[in-house]
Amino acid sequence: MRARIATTLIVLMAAASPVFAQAQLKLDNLNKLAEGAKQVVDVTIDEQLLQLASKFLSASRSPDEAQIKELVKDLKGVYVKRFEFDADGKYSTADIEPILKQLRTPGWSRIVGVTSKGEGGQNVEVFVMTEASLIKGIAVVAAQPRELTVVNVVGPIDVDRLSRLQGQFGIPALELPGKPR
Amino acid sequence: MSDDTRSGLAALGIGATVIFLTVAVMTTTVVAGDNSYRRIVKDLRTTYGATEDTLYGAGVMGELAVALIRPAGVSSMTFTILRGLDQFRKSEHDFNQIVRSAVEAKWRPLVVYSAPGENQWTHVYAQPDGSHILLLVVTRSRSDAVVVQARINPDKLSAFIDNPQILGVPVGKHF
Repeated sequence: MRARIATTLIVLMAAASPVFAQAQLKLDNLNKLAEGAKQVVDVTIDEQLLQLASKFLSASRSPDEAQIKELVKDLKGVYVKRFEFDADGKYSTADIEPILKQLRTPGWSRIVGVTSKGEGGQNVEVFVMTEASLIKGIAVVAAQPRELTVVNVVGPIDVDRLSRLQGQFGIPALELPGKPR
Repeated sequence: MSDDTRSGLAALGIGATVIFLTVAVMTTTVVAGDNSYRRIVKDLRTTYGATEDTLYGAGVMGELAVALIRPAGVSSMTFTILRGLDQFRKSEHDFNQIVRSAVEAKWRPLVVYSAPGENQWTHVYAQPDGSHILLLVVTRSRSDAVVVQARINPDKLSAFIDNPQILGVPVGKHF
């Protein structure tokens, strides 16, 4: 009987651990863009470090910090890659394709797509991974002629909450809907 | 015992205490079985011909200050300042590669910032250590680099930010 309970627990634990892991994108293929980039920011914060880092935030210091602390409580990871180039054409859609391919797999849905035309036009696409009613992660791909940003937040989060994380944990301002002023 | 002898012994005691504290701090800053900090310093010295800046014993004095003052939940800290990294004119990719290959797998890359056009590079690695966090930071400008390893208690650091005190003396609400 004990062995059966232990086996059930192990199976449940094994099943539970990758729940959010599916929402973590493989971003390594973007690393090659670093060579031609003027500026590179690469942020990798897993759950354990995120929880430790959130201790620096104090609810008594400001309401914003209280909100962000509450927000990151359940997160499993924050991953950001941002490349800035000194000329157009230093990256192509082929470089982003492996990311988009992952975002076309079952579970991921594109919920926001903003295209601004003209010089310096920005394309922002927001994807969420859901299972039943649970949001498992969110991904943002923001592309400009001389800038490429990919943000992947793993854990229960939505666009409104993500907008509150702009400027925190290496997540740049992405002009997402619902950005607090 | 004469006054001269007493003052001599007192001076000797203070000196011994200072040496003991310095040694104590230096030994506590080393992560058991981890040579990442030393390897980075060594590799930057050998690759770039950089020299350690020992001006006024900056490293030792910094470590001693941490031992005595214990600011902001920093329980130990060691750092090295390197000068003259631009002597051999290596490309910036060598720097990133040197740091990456010197850091052992137990360190998790937290932030990597590279801006070759601005001659700025920063690598921040971290590893949890119970309720503490170990940080290994390597930052470089065109000719200088600083390698810092510190053990930080986030709770105490947060409390320090709220109520900054050094040796029990408040140092202002805001820096």
